[in-house]
Amino acid sequence: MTAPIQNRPGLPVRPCYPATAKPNGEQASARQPLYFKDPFADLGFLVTLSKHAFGGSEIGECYSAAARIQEGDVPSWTEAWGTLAERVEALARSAEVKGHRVSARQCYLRAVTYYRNVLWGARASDPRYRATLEKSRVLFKRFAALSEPPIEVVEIPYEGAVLPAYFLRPDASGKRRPTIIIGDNASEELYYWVGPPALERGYNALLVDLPGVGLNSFHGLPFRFDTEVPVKAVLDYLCARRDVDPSRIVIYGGGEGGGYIVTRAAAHEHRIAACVADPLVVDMEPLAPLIFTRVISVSDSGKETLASNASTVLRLIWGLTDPEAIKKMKVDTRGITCPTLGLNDSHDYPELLQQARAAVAAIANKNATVRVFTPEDGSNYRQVDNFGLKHRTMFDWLDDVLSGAILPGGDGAAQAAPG
Amino acid sequence: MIPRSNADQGHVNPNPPPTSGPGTSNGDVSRKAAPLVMFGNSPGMPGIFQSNFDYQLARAMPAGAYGEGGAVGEALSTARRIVDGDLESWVVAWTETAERVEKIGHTCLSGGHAISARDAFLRAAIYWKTGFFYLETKDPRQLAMYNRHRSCFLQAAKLFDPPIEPVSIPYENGKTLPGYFMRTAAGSGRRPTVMILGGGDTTCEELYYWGGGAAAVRRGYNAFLWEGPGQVGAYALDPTLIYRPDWEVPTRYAVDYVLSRDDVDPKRLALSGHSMGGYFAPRAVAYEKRITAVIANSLLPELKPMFEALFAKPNTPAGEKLNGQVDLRKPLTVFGGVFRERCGVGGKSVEAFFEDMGRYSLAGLEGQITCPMLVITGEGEGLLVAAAEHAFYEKLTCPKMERMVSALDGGEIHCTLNNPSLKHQIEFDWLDDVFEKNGASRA
Repeated sequence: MTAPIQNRPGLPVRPCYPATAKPNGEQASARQPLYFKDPFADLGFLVTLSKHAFGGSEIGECYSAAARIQEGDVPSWTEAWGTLAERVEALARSAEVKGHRVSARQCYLRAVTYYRNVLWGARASDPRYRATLEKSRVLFKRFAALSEPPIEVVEIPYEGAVLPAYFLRPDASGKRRPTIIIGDNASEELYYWVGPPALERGYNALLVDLPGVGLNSFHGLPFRFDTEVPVKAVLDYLCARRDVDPSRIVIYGGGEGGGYIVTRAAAHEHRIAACVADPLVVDMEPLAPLIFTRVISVSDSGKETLASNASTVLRLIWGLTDPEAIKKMKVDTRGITCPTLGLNDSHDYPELLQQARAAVAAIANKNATVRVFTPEDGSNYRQVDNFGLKHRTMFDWLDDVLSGAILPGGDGAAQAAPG
Repeated sequence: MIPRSNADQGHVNPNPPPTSGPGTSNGDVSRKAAPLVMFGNSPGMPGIFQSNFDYQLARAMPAGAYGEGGAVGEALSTARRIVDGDLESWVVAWTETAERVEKIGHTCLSGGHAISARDAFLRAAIYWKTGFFYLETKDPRQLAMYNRHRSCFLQAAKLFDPPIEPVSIPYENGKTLPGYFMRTAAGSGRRPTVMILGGGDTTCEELYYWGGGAAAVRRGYNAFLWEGPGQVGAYALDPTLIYRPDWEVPTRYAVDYVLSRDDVDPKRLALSGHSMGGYFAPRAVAYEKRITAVIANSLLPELKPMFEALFAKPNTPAGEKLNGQVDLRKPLTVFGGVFRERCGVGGKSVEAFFEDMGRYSLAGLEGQITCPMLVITGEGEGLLVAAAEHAFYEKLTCPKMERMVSALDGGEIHCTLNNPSLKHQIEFDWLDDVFEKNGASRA
């Protein structure tokens, strides 16, 4: 059954895409474009397409919307995704009324994705931004209520206020389980990054709006550099729950901001059993300006683009508005005493890769490793086109760490980073 | 129909037509051309290829969606290694990806990571299938890759809870037909069950994906994925099994098996047919009255005109020097050769094949279909399909529903393949309603 497949020799194989196609000569992240010339639109489209794997989009819906978008034109982006979002929301509401719970919740989830794309059509200060975020939140709560078991909408006490969050359980058994925390973006977005793979593997997942994230900035809770403070509030909350195993609470962060948030928290909050930083960031100061040139390139022309809109959001949620605050965004790696996995990409800009490699060597826990993904792994950019690869790598590593397959202080790092 | 407007709007054209070389034979199919029958390009498709490769790519892209992880990058990076219209590059690229992902499955399994293993085996199964799609029977890779497709799915099947059960359906003369029974974990006792059938180019394994197997068990239905004679897997396992128009015969054997189980509710037994199954399923229920609901996606009341339009150049009267006019280098036409073998007319002329297809007709059976029927058609399938479907639908006297999926829905292509979520929502919401109306409680 497993005889090798013999292909004919001498085949002329050439890339289907133009070999010279790079979204932007300035970009270290020379990902091949999928659909749009505008790198941000193309990345947004790719991520949207990828979400289909968790029911967050459908391939035909994505392409059908994309076909109606004019290259480089922000209003047509907003219009195309907004129209699709309304259409799918209408399907959801109609299915819910008729009692088709599974279909209704699936449509609500896709509508959330499409409304979240509409967000890139406005700056963070634009009232439409906030209104669209609120809209996607309302729909996600319908998805949450119709899920089985229902996703709990929770509020975590924090300095006299609350952090809004969703708590996801694999089943309603109430069993004590390992739990993964994520908090670097609006909780609705974070669902895709850890929700489905965690549940499938018997983990709980907590999606939380840390300060600065989601609507928190509008509610007087801006980003703070000492992320261990809100994360401590999250740990206090989780440790009080009977369905959480307090010895197996892990944290994940995505993007440069998420990578910083979790390493900083792990350096101070030692109830965290393991940390996954995607990518590994321990000093934001040299990276902050590069995010807006190498990751999302914002032109100097002052013209409104999807990227310029997105940059206002990233600055807000990751605290990248105040240069003095950015200087404080540093992590003492000697404080990181839990096993730590960095997820990096061969397309990452050199400063980011160097920081990750240097950090691994300096982290106190010897089970620190960084995995650098390549296109040969089936990922062209930060595994957003291959979430399965991301999830398999991090959860298999977490399984091993939490089960003791990698012993504390041992030399398990080699096994932890399969080649 | 909204024309594909990539070029107008200045988007990246990921795959410009080659000026020379093996892809040239497809240069006559313009991206903006009006859709031909069934497989024309339309807005909700990737647009990465101009040939029928694009449809098969759209079919492979959701491979990750039915496990637990996304892998759209795997399909896209594979597509990047393919020269449009060049079958050899198609086979090589998908083989590389399938080998790699299958290996991930084995590595995960030996490391004790059952979920990751299952997910990888499911994806590898689809990549193997995608890879051999166009291969001719005389090419030894065809059977080898089919076997890998099946073995990957069998390994994934064991890792489900409850496991997916492989079934050999007893059939005529001691022969068997392949199938899988998927038991829903939701609820116990006798459950509503949907028997899922493909068409001219499907295996029962891939019906787990877009066919509706995974969607069924999620909604509290059992699913029975099966193949009749002539279908890809049945023929690969036993080349004496060729297509037959009297589909009620294989269906009888399949229903006998399904009703022998104690977890199937005989009052709520649906048959869902795809593509050529849009002929088989209505034909079967015209005679097989133990089936209580039927779905056709798309409804194909006459196969002959469909195949004439698919394999001949447009506007060519059938029977007029067809062999000279059919471009035998086109991927879909190469596939057509394999298909004709499975119809039992492999060595014969194209005209003889069309003649044979004349036996596959639902004409006169409109009044004999008595169970409720759902018909799903894609706007991108073209007027020929839509007109034939609607004319037949109008004559049906059973309880019925007709649903046209538009390009704006993003599910306009043949079998709603670019939007399985929408497809499953339409199918199962309709079945929910029909079975409740049948007076049985769904709880």
